[in-house]
Amino acid sequence: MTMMHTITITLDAQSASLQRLLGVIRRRGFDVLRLDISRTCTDGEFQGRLRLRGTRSIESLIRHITNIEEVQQVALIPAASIQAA
Amino acid sequence: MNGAKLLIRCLEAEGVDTIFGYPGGAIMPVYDALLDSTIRHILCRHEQGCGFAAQGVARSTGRVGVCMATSGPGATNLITPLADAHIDSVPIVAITGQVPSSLIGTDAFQEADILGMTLPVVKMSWIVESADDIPTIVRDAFRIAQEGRPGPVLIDFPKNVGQATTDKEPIPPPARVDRPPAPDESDVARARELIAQAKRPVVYAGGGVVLADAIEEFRTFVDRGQFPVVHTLKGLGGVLPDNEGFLGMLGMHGLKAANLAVQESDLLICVGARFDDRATGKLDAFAPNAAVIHLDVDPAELGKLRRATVGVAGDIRPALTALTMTPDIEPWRRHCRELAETHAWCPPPSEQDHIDAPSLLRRLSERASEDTIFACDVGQHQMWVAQHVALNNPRKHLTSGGLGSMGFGLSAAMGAAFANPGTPVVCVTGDGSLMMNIQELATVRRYNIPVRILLFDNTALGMVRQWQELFFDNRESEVDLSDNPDFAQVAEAFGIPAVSIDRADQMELAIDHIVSDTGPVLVHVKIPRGDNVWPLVPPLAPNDRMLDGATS
Repeated sequence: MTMMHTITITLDAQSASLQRLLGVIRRRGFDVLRLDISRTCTDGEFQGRLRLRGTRSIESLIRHITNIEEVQQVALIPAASIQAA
Repeated sequence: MNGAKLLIRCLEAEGVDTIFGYPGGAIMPVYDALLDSTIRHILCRHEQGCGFAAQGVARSTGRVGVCMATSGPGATNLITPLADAHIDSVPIVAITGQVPSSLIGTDAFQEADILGMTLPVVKMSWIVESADDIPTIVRDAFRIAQEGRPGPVLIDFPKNVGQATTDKEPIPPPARVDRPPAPDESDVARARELIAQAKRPVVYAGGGVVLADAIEEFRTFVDRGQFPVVHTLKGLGGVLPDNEGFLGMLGMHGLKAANLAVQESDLLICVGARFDDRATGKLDAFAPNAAVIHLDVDPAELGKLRRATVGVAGDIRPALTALTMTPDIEPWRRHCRELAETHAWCPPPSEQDHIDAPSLLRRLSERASEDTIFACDVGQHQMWVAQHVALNNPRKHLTSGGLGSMGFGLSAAMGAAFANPGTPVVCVTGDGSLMMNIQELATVRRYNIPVRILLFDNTALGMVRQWQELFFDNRESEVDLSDNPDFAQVAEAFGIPAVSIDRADQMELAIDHIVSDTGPVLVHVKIPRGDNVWPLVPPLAPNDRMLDGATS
């Protein structure tokens, strides 16, 4: 069943960290519906959130994202929190 | 000093003694710096050979292998070895030259976005922007390649960075690589409960055992528990081949006893394996009645394909020690031994004149010294090695398991021979595979690398032909290699002694060359075109629906 998910992420702003992140998301079976990421004022990190769509396990995707060297933090926002917001 | 010299000094600091490479325009500053280094450079004849040779070092020793190429086509030729290393978790540092920073993005001569092209097949990659960054990047590269689940990394090195001046110094590596985090104790406790309750447990172990340097703990775990054990292709050698519980490789070309035991099991103890489709067959029919304990250093593997009843993430070495116990499973052990006896391999009739590849490999396995390293190519011969050679350590069996890269074997054997001087190295290859990187015979000759090449020549792309025979109504499509060159003459043209055989009574002579010759040699073995690998699980079928020569 196709599900929507929102994740927050912080990653080092290195040569190709965003491309690496998006590549993992695509290869592991998810579409990006919305991407809201910006570079922090200290310039060393990207922070933001992504809205994703896919049929596979989001928990599994998060573990794959966690394996990306540049990723400092990734978390799934519970659906209830999104509705409340 | 300039950036190129600093790069070489950083590699020296990491303990690198050999680089497999091929020079070109953008990497020239680094090749100039190499002239003043203690590092030995091995000039392969194609960058793909460089990458696979570096893998030969890494797979046979656990150390990081290093390969180097210039920009553009040199770099793109490394992509296959990098993808191969990534899927098989092999620690490689690849260094690619790049056009000067000011020219990147201008479609300059020999410019390729190698960083972009390799993103999905490396653990990490860098474009070096300043010579001052070199020590940090090289240290990170070696750390990341080795730690946790190993894998390849790429350093893209623009020419101007190599020519820039810097006063930085190498960062010395730590004395040892940090072990992964220990597993959660509650997970281990739950796993122990499952083992204690199981009546029909099977250990299903993969390449992660040796990557975790956990062979000793694994063997103790298996011996104490007296578990039936099956191995993946990359796990072979985890238990000794004469272990009473060892049932062989599982999966598509696994042994019947191995597949049947897994299908009948009520508990699968998966150690450093990843439920690869070649191992599981039809996934939802794989071990259908089994609970699963899954031990893996990579949490992303837990539940990726098969839900784990208990997932144990982290260092599998302490996990195995904590799980070592002796469950009461004697009837099941006896049943598995009976499966092994019932489905044992049957030799072909002794009166047959042609050469039977499995028989030759079994005889070679008996006569080769225990420390022999077997480097395989990809195809039927690869499966025959997995089925018929008694492997006593996964580091003695170099095989392209995940990517299945034809052309892997000879170069990997070269790398293994450099990294293990004095250890016999046999490259088992096929006529299709050898031709994929046959230019490396020149490297073998140049450095007099004592690789014994055992070439099974069936004048076809045998595995594809077998599948066309079985699953495409025997409609052969582009698998004919009957116009192969005379491989013995080819080898001799490269300056490598060679012998050709095609009769069963010549097998001992061929094996004499492999086990007794001191230098490189090619043994060309002509086998029947129609010989197949048995058993075989048809694609997307459950593993207990195996075909063999009698049933197909």
